Amino acid sequence: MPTTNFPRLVSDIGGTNARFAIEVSACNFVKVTILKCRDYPTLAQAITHYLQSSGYPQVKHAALAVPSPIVDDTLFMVNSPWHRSSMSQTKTDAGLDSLIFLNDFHALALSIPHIPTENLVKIGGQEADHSKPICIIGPGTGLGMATLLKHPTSEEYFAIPAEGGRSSFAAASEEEFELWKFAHSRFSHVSVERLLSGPGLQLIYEALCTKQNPPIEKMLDPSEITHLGITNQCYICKQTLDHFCRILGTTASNLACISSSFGGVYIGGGIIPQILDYFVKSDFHARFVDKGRYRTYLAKMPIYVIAHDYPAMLGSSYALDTYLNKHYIP
Amino acid sequence: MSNNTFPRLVADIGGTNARFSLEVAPYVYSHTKVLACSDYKTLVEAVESYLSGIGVAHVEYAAIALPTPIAGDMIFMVNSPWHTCSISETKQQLQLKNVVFLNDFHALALSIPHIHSDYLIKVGGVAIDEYKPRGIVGPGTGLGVASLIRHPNGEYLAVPAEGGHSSFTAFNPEEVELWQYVHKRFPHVSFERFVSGPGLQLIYEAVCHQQQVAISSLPSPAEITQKALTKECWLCQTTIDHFCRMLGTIASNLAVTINAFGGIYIGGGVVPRILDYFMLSDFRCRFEDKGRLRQYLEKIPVYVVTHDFPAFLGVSYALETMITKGYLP
Repeated sequence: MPTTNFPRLVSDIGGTNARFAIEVSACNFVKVTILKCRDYPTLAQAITHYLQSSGYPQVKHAALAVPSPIVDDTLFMVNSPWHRSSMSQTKTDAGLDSLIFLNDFHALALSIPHIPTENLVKIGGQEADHSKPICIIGPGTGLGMATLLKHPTSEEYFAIPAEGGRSSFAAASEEEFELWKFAHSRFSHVSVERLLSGPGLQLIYEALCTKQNPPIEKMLDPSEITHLGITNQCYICKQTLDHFCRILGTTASNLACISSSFGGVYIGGGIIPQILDYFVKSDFHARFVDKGRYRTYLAKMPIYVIAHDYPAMLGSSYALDTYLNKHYIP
Repeated sequence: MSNNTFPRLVADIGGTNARFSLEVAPYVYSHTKVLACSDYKTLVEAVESYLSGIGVAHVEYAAIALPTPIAGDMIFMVNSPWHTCSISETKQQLQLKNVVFLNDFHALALSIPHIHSDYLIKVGGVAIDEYKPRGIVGPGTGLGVASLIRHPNGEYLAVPAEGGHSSFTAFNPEEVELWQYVHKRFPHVSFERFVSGPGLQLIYEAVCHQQQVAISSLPSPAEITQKALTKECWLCQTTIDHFCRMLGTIASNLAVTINAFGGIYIGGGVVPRILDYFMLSDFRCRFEDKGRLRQYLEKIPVYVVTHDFPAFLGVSYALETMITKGYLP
């Protein structure tokens, strides 16, 4: 692997914060820094500021993971001050020779083979078959999904980023149909992201509150719901988390059926690591395998929660390396 | 491509019939014949009979598609008179240099880039991006689902899967009622329960229950499609209408799960039989009906595969890759 193009810039950009690092040699990151997006009018200014202040103004190659589909030149980051940034303009303004953008779940998928095992919490299944597809699902602000494939005769990986969070919600019990009806009264199409995300926690909570007698009208933040649920301070929050874990089980299992994920099912996103102990004891895995005749098929698939501070950087780094050496984005 | 490896035997084996052909040059087939499985005790016997019938003494390479998962050497064929078949024994008895066995939906997925446009009936959408993933969904005896991915180096890779067993997603209160009816019988209601040949009967039953109509005798899937097409039976028409809409939901779920800008392809036996009805159905409408993702889905073309022997093209690609690159794509 040519090493002449180090140091490189890798970054994981969210709606509020942008995490930057300098990769000085393969997967060796230094100067990890979090910047507030709103402190910089443009993405290029944030990049330039970071490179200057970290003492690496000579960096010429960069890979950025962003919470946006990558379709044409325009980034679509609704909740970010850098919404509708032009990728090519950013490259020019930041003075870079190469700059690639990846959807954050695309980067997360590519990171999986590089995540150290101590940053993975296994919650069921058998051994992974490393020649088989890997899938990733992660509830956070939205619900991200992606699939990762290994080339049959080389060690190359490539990812299939997608919008699986927008597939239709599959209610699996009468109680879940009550949730579906509540959501359907508000949205004509009930995607699974409507329930499996931060706002989804609020929606489930609200649906359960309206069934109480008298109805509860106090709205909570997603983080309040998770906190009050895991500390057993609020019964409805706890019920909300129970539904959430079960629905994630069905959804992860639907994805696993579509992608034949004997390479493993990985759970990312911001919510599950916050409720990890609760999640491990939940009905998630019981629901994951609950597909009639396909129980034994699904029971084989290993499931992991990703507990790593900045996994998307590992994937961005792999993508940049492939791009610089083989001229495609994996 | 090494020309001395031709002719090659290609086969598409079903529960009742086995279709054989000789690939005499890349994707050029000759002497295609359909044999009844029950006339032969084993697959080897059927192959030998086919080859002697067309006056070919021996072939060195063969590729065979089967309607069963392929894992390990022993293949179990549930609905076939042959029951089981060992890959290594078949190879040895037929004195083959190389043989590939693959699941029929795996073969169908690999066939897609090689199917002539005359055999693809477009159902909405814009143009495909050939570099992007393709999704294949096919209701027949079961509900087959597969994905076809083009590696950046130009090679195709199929992901055969069990997407038919993903959970059914009811879209409206009417479908919730159908789900509730079936949920009483099966704790897990997969898409395959509805979107398949046997699924037509189950939808019919559920519709009759919903409409409070007593069933004197349950029509076969073929009778349901026939009576719907000729408009003799409104319950059958309602059944097919539900079927087309539900197929729209699963096709669309698959499309958003793999970003299928390479297109969604509908195979399997059921849809080609009701093609005209299908074209006028709510399928496309349901396919695009995913709220904020409508514009995304409006772009994705859907095609019905009307080729008689698409699996041949797929097994040919698999065999060629195995011979030249040493792996099953």
